[in-house]
Amino acid sequence: MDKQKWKHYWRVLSSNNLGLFGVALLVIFLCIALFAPFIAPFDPTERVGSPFMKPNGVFLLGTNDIGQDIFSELLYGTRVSLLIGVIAALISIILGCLIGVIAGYFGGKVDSFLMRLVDLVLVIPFLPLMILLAAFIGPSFWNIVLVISLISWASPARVIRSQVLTLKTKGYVEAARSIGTGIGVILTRHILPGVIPIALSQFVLAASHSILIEASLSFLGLGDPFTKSWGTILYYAQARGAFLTDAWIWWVLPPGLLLTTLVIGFAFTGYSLEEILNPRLRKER
Amino acid sequence: MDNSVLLKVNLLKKTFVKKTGTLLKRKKTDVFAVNNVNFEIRKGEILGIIGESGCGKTTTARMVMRLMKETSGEVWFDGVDLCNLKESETNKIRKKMQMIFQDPYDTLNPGMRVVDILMEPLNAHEKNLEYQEKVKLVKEAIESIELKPAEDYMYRYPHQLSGGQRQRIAIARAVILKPSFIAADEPTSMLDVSVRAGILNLLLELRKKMGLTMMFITHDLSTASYMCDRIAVMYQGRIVEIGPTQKIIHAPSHPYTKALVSVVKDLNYFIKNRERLIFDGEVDATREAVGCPFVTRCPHQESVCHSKSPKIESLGNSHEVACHCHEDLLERTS
Repeated sequence: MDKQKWKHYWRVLSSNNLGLFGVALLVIFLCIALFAPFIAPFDPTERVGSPFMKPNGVFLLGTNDIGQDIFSELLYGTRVSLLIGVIAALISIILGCLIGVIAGYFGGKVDSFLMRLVDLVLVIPFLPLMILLAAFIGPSFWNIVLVISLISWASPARVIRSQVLTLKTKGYVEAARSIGTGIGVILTRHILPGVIPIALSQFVLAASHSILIEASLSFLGLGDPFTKSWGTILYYAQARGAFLTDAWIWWVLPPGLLLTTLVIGFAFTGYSLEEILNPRLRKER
Repeated sequence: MDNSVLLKVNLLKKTFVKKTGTLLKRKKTDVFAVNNVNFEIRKGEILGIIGESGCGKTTTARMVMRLMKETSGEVWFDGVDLCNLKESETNKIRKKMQMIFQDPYDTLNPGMRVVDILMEPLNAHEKNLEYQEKVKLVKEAIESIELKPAEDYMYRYPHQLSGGQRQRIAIARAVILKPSFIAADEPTSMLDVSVRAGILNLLLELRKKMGLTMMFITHDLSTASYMCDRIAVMYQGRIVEIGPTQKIIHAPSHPYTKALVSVVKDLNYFIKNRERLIFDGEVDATREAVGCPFVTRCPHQESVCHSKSPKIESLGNSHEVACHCHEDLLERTS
């Protein structure tokens, strides 16, 4: 029975080219991240060549200012970018869901209080706060995750709240109440499933956002300078003047393209996931 | 309280507050949705509540079902006053009273399969049952509402069912716990005429099989006359006439009931030479009438109607009416 369900999901997913493409992209990135040590020709933290080498047969994308292989750096960078993106997005979505559902379902004073809190977080100028926080609590992997999720839970919370407000008035919620179903069950069986498609699309947005924020924080030198992420690669490229020479083609462009591709992968996956979780969007196939 | 009475509603009242005006000149107006409603439903009986849109039928049902808090009044169910119960105690009572809603497209969660929908009442009240036993009960419930074979329907989503089938599932959800009381809020008004009779007959049959007591809300007098043992006519939040179905249809006493009866085609087939009374316009529920609530539309008004609110009076045979002029009217027609 449950097996059938999963088969059905797979059918929906595989009949959607865009979704399949997105999932394929994510799977490729996941593989790169998981198997980076096996694919990468060199250890990205070791000096393996002379500095500022152009791409050649041994160093596919040349070397950086201290002679590390850029191609290996990129492969290892996937790990950090993907991990930060997913973890930060997950935290902010869980927080946003919790606050949105509570505010929307219970309404009244709880709602007003929580929504004013959301307003507060939303109106704070985003980049300065981020820089301040990152500078204040210091650069490390978990601090960056913390900073990103602290900032990005507010807008999902608001979107989810509005969805809960419409769900709350649905007949089946009232029917469940008249049956005598407990509030916990109503929230998890009737409200949450209706929220999940929205939460997922918000997750995708948040994940791509988080990846970009991580890259920009690192690019500004506020990330951990010793972890290899796409952002830090760009940071060193900028600091060593790669933007002004021919080196941008193999030093700046590849991390940029990878960032874009990863974000696109998330977006496409999001669309097809939404279709799976909302049966009414499904076409009869 | 009489032992044969299952549900007794006593002086039930609900007012909504409507806020109007700007920030500085805020005004609060009360809207009287349900105004001192009294009625009883005996065991095994179907009481119909009819009235036009906005007359408070659904609000009454929601208060009886404890989906909404009353402003004042009492609801006695099986010897218990529901208005003073705590949330957890109310949830226990809900096992014995269930509701069928108006819109079958809205009351079934589109993301749940029929099994899961029907299992919800069991999960709420029969926590000790094994999963397989619950599935068996669900199957029985589906077959009792004449969707056979049950396996064909169990694993479908609501959007794969027709309107009539959905309403049947909603009925199955209401009866799966074998309740003693069911409130049906216009269960056929969203359905095609072709499937209405099926749903009504199903309800009647279930009542016969399970000894159900029912509160049947509708705006359609012919449906009510088909289903109900007694009918209560509501107008602007009050019951203006209540009595056995035959009395209401063949000898209506309140001018509003008369107007209702006169425009129903199916009924006119039986009752010849009846003039048709049609009233125009909407009514304003924000003013609490000093006199009779029907006075603005009543064709027979007298001076007393403007100043005094009519009390409900018995006409014998448990037929009651709230009108100052019903005796005069009786003379005029005879």
